Formats: sequence, structure tokens, C-alpha cells
Amino acid sequence: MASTKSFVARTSRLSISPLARRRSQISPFVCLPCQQLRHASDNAAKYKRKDTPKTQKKKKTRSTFKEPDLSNAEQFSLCDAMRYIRAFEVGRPPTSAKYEMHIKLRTLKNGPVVRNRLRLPHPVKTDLRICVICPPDSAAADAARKAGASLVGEDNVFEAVKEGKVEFDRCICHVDSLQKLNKAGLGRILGPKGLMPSAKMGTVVKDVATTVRDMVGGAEYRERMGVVRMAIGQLGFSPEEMQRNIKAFVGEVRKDIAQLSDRIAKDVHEVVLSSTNAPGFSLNGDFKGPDSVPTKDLSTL
Amino acid sequence: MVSILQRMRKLKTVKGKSPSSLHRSPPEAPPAHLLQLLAIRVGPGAALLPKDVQRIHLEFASKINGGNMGPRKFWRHHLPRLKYHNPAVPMTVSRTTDQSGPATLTIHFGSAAEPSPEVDSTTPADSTVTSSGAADRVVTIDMKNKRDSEILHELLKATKAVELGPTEEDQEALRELKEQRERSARDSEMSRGVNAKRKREAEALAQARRGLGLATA
Repeated sequence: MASTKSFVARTSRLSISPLARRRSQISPFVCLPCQQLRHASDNAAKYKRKDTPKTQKKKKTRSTFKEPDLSNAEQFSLCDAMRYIRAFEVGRPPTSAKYEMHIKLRTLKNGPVVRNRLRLPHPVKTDLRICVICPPDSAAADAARKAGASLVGEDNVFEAVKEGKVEFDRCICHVDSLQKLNKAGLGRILGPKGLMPSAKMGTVVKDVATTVRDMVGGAEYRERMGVVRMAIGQLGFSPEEMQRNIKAFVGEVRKDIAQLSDRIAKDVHEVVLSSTNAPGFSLNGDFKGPDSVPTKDLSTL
Repeated sequence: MVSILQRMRKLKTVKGKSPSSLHRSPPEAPPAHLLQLLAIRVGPGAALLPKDVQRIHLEFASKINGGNMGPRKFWRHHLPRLKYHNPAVPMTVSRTTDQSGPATLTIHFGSAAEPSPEVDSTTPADSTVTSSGAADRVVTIDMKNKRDSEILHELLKATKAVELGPTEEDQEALRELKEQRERSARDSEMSRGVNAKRKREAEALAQARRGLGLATA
């Protein structure tokens, strides 16, 4: 063992010594960059690791919402979906469970959103408290009261709101009373609740009575994350009633899209019917499937 | 909106497992993991009621103590299936706050021809409840302290309902499910072996390193 070790040592010394001698003769310029190069490559490797995920992240940001391929989806006719939903909702209190509609849009993430009110042919809920801001002794006030507004007035309403009594779900303002409203400074109280009337929302109007009438049976909808959702029917509705409601809703959303702007491309991508306790059923646009049950059977509890 | 694959998977996996309905079910009944929609079509409670059954009404307490668990499970697990196969029969549930009160299932029988002219599909009915037709015969089943499967059995016996087996498509789906389950069991067994092996090797390596480190120090 010892002999081999010494031999190795000797040979190594023999082999190194001429090299070392030669290196010492070579000017240090050759050596230095060589060392620097190695350091540089180490640093590059370090930076590289940090850099790569960043670029990947940048790629991930997208300007539109995802549009899943609907060929993967199982779609249902309205009657079939309703039959399943009725089964899922069996024995639930009919006042608390409702049909819901979700309309998925092909749309940009940061563009303008679809937002409006509509009055369904068969209203879902009818106990809405509406406040109308207009001079209390005008013709408009009388008409509003007749149409079903629960609170009408100017100063008395302002004072009640300032005291913190907001006993209404919707607020409409007559055009002539808008200045008074703005002076009263209710934006702080009503704004966060989404009750502050504004022309943009369509809650500052001349014809108060018709707006109230629309609102009593009407419902608001708004696009959130590329989907418009709304309660579309009571559980006791027949398929025909649901069909009318759905047609009205989808038609209204299409109309809103058309009104937005020419440059903005929006389109209905998918329509889903669900309910309070049932899963969502993607609709294929048909009313009845080949082996659906008779429609009159589907309206029983 | 949730992605389409997730949504479809949710439709295809059972929402709330119903062990009680599936343990004590006849041998030909489907297995525990059903598609959510398949679970509505197939299983105990999938039966066709005769035409003279007008209405079924359940009444029990809202909490499960005092023998109200069976009724609730019957409502949650079996009634949807019964409703799916008999959409025309109104089925109502009223839950009382009185825990010690009775838990009953009432079946209203009437003449077969009676309900059809009463409901007119063309006129949009505003009222949601229209089941006030006079029943010829009323059968009441006491549900208190009974299991859900017992309640179902009594209901089927009282109404002489025809039990429906899975259709061919459903059987196909069930077979696929079974295959999937077997495959997943096989795969998990395999990966468990692989993981165990990897862990063993890593441990051996760590041990060796530790020994080496001690020796050098």
C-alpha cells in the first residue's frame, strides 16, 4: 500500500511540476479571466433560476375570461333539467327555494359590464320596498304611491336616512329633485348600499310611476366575472312559464350587449339553470327532449 | 363560473354519500360512489307509483333526536328518487319544532282520472300549491324510530309501487364506474408500493450519510 501511495505521489509530483513551472512563466492575464469566467457563470445560473418563473407568470395573465369547450359538457333540455331540479328540491319550503339562471359571456376582463333591470313575465318576488324622492305634493308623488312605492317625499326621506333608518331596497329620484338630493349629502350612507340614485343606473327619471311599476315586479342583474346571474322563477312554475322568463331574460341581456358599443365584442357563451339546492344544468336550448315527461307534471311540488 | 370539467365532475360524483341507504340495500343495488345524477335515477326508492296515488306528505321534527333520524334520511336520500320517477305526484315535507311530536307519512289515494283535468298546462297558474283535491283514501305510516329503508319498504308495500331497475344506459354507466374504482384501487396500491420503496431508500441513504458524518467528525 505504502509503496503504491508513494508511487502515485511521486508520479503526480513529476507530472505537476513541469506544468506549474510553465504556468508561472505564463503571464497572469491568461489565468485571471479564466477564474472570472467561472464566477460569472455561477452568477448567471443564480439569476436564471429567479428569472424563469417571472416570465412564466407574465405569460399567464389573460385579458379574457376562460371559455371552456362546451363539447365536454353534458347539456340538457329545459324539461329534463327541471325534472332533475324538482327531484333535488323535493320537500324544500317552496318560498325559500328558487330557480336561478347563470349566463356566461364571452367577454374581456376589464371592459364595461352588462347591468340593467328587467321585469320578468312572471315575477319571482314581489315584496320590494321602494323609496321615491320627489316633492311630496306633486302629481308624480301620487302616481308613485299608486304604483306601489312605500316611501315618497324629499326632506322627510333625507332626515330618516340621516338618522340611519333605511327602510327600503330601491331608491328612485325624480329629475327635479336631484339637486336637493345631492345637496343633502346622502351619498355616504346610500352609496355603499348601492341605493344612491344616479342617471347612470337609470334611477334618476322623469316618469317615476312607470319605473316603480317596473321595479315592483322587476329584478336587477349585473355581470360579475363574466357571468350574469339572476333568480328566474319560483319552484312552482311550469316549464312554459320558465321558458317565457328565460327567453325574456336572455333576450334582454342580448339587447344590453348590443347597446354597449360597436367595438366591444360580447356574446352569450353558455346558459345554466340551477336552483337553491340543485347542481347547475347547462341548457342546450331545446324545450323538450325526446323522452321528457309531460310538461304539466313538472309544476307540482 | 367554475370550469366546465369541474362542474361536470361534480354532476358525476355523488354529493352527499348516503351510507345508510346503500349498506342495507339489496345486493343488486348500485355501489356507494354513484354519479350525482345517476344517484337520482338509480337506487332504493326508484319506483313507479300507481296512478291512484295523489299526494305524499311527510311530517316530522326538524332535529334528529326522538326518533326523527330515519324520516330525515328518507326525505334526503329516497324521496328525490321517488320524485324523479313520479314528477306528477306532489310530495311535501313539513318539519315541526316539536321533537316529541308524531312523525308520519301520509299517502292520499284518489281516482286515477281525477287529477288530469284539474291541472291545465296552458293557463299560467299563479298559485304554487294546487293539491287540495279530495282524497278517497288516506293511508298513514308511522315513521318514528324507524330506519329510512324500513320507511321506504312500508311505503312501497302500501302503494303497491313497481320498483324500477337501472336501464341499459345506467347499467353501462355503473359498469364504467366499477371499472374506474377497480383501476383506482390498483393504481393506489401500486403507487403506495413505489412511495414506500422511495421512502425506504431515502431513509437508508440518510442513515448512511449520518454514519459517515459521525465517522469523519
